[in-house]
Amino acid sequence: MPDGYWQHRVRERLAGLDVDPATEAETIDELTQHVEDRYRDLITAGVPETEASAQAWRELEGHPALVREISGARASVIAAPAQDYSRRRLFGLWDDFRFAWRRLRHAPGFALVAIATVTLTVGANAAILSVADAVLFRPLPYADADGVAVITMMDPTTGRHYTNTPYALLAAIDDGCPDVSNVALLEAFRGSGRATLDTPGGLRPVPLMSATPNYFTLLGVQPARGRLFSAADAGQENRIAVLSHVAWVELFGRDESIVGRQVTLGAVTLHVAGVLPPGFVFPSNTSDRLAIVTMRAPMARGEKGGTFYPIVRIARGVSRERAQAEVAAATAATRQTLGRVDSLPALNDVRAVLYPVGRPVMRFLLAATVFILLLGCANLANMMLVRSRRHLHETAVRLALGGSRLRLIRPMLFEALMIGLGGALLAVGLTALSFDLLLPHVPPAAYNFGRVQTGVSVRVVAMALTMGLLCAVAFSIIPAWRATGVDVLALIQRRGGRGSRIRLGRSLVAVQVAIAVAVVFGAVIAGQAFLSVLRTPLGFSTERVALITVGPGPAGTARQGFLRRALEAIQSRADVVAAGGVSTLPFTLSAPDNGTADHKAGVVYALPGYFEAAAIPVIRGRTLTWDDATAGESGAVVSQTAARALFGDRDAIGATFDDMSGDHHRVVGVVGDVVSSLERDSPPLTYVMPGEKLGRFTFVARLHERRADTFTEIKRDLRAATGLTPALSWWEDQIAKDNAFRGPRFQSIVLASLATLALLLTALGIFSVVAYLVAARTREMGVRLAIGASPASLVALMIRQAIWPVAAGLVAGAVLIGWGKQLAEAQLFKVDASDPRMWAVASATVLAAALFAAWLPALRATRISPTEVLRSE
Amino acid sequence: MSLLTGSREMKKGSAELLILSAIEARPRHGYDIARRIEERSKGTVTFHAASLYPLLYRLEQRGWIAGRWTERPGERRRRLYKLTPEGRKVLARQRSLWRAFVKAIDRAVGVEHA
Repeated sequence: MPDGYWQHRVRERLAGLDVDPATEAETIDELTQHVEDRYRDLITAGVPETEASAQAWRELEGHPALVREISGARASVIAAPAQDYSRRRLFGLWDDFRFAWRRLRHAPGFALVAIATVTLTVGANAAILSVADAVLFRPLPYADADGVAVITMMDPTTGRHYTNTPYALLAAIDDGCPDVSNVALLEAFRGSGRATLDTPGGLRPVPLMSATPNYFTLLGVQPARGRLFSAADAGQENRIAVLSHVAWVELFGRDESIVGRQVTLGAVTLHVAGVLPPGFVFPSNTSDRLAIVTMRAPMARGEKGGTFYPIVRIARGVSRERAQAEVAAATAATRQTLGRVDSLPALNDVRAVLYPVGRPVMRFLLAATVFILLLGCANLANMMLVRSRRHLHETAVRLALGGSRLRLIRPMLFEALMIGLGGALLAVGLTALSFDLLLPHVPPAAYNFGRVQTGVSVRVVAMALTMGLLCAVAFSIIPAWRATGVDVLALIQRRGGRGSRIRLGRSLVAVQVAIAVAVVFGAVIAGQAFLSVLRTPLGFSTERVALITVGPGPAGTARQGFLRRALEAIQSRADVVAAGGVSTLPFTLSAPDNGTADHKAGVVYALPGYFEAAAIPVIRGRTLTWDDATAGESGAVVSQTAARALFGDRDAIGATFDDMSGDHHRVVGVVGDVVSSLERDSPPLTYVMPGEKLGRFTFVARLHERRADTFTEIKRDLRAATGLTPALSWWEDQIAKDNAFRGPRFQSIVLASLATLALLLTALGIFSVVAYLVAARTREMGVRLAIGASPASLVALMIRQAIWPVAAGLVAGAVLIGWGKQLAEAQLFKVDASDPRMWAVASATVLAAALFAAWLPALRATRISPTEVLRSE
Repeated sequence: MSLLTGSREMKKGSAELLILSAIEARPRHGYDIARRIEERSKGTVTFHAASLYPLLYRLEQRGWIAGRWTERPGERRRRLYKLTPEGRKVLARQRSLWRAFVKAIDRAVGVEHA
């Protein structure tokens, strides 16, 4: 029998089958095989060909209802799920779920890429959120935290804040502000405020603080053990104390009997009243992890200054602006009397005080991750569109058999749910695993130096899961809805019906490109910012410099002798070029220990030899000597900026100034400026010799060379000289991981990672759309090839299809950059976001990625065989 | 189907049983099922494609059997039918019913077993 003979006859026999084309083809195939098998068996059995042919055909003869019966049975097989579902468990939801699962299993490539998209998108957000949560969203540990305000002195012209508010102004607030509560104070003692506690593990330095009786009541804090201070404790000042939760755990080993007991801190004995709750953070920028808080007397009129953190509570229903206006008015006369008209007490939001650096940084990064989220969602929508195109014919058949639109959408939504959930779970897992790697790159200042707990909390997990599910489901609804709104007849007859879907895909590409340009631009300028950081002169040198801390050592009059003994022990070593000491190292974001009385410059305590050891150039005069530490009028060295700020055009040498503690200083030399952080200009600094007040000191020693055994020898020498064991590190190692470097480096790393992710997602989106176009236009391209088009011209045709949305995206990206420019300039170190070269680099990068992503699937067009395409039609 | 020509109902009920038992041991394609039934009945029962396939599709629709296209290298693809768990239960039930029915008929027509 000639090829196709039986198939032709069976097709004629089954003419009028009322099933979809695919089922019809299968049925004809199956019955043809049956007849052919029968014919072959008969021939093998020796039946003559004519007789065998007639007998084989008898298999399908007679049975007049054959076509009707097969139509009924075959249609039922396909339509059965749609009819049965409604009666099945949970209205067929389980079946939809299984159907979706099967579809995903049969398309592992799609499932993998879709899940990876969600994982990367949600992962980036979860990682940033896990740090940002504490800084921006987590409720503060106070009752009605929005009503609490921290008072600082603010210079309205420069916007700078000082923590030293005269008592007279606080008294004026108490007297003249009906909408603001009485002031409560927290005082954090520096230096000598570090008392030593005799613990089972040996002597430990403990930061001491003191708070007024109304402090914890104002915050609305409940104790974890015992009680906190109250007005009833009057008369117990400096005798009762509460422990921070960390102090209770680390110093007293969670001793339940601690409440009511006495503890001895040096010469002071305190009665422990209670323990603060875990997670409590003082509304200040002071170090308080291990704090023991004593009760101090309420504010006394006429009392002088100190470093303290006053807080007030604004009455319910009163805006911060109104309260601020009240404070300004109530303190106006007192400011006049004090000669402080240039600054006023400002009511600050607690978060702004707790996270002065973190909030803007985190907002900036969150904005970048929101872009990534949008990109990921757009990508997912694109992939769903492409996928729905592949199932278009199946969808049309099911619609033709009476399946409702909702029933057809449901499996698609289940598919999206599985993708979203899978991706989000993976993202949470990856974030939890990589969090410890991420955290060292985050500037500690961003999350209040570890005083607040950071990590992948339940809130972050919940947010990530919600994000993954919402992203996947919300962005698959439109593709699913469009996929089920097809022209059934046209599709079954394989005609058209694709225009709107392509338009949607192209629009998504344009959006993706715009976002990618913006994020890549951010990464480019963050990189530029980081380079600026590396090129910035610091004003001092860290090369071969060892940092040595010994302490705390004796307080009071014996203090200076102790410091001198330690320093001379270091200086006497043959391998030491120069050595000195300083209370606050530059470039650590730390504020100076004190300020000048007019608030124009900071005061840092330094020991002779410091400028030589740190290689800070002497501009005029001389550096400090031990003789400068005289009572009454001690010698001081000022930085160039401080000289200008304090004395203007006058000669600084010989000029005098007072500090906030009331000490009087005469300038003996002017030195170069040093940076305290890269984000700010060099601060005006004065250097004075320490009196009896200062506790902690860092010795700075420049050596001839870095040797492995140097530290061991210095430790031995210092132990011999002071009886204490010092801690040592190399300054250049320290500075490499320093906060001031970390900020720009962190931003660069995060933005570069986000930009890579954005490029990847955009490339995937473009790849999907071009792949879709190639698949949708296979027939057209087959015809083009058949009539002589070259494969290269088809690739160019496909790439051209992608170029327009990419071009539109580049323009939209430029607009986005225009909007975000100021935000970037405010957040990044010394960058010029208006530089057109930055935009050009970002656009060229995205364009290159886009063209590559379009070229890959376009290549498929060259592999189309015109013969096969035309035959299949 | 010479023996059963007289009773269309009997044929209809038994045809399902014949198909189900033909694929009880292993999956088979349509022509193989027909040949198997013919061989086991020693040519007494024969199925033509025209009656076999509508029946196969109906059994598939009821979920008693499941058809699946399989391909082997060098051969044409074939649609193999296998029993579903539900089909296996139906076969066991129909088999015992059939035995009871045959016994009843035997008794009614007076056939005596030795």
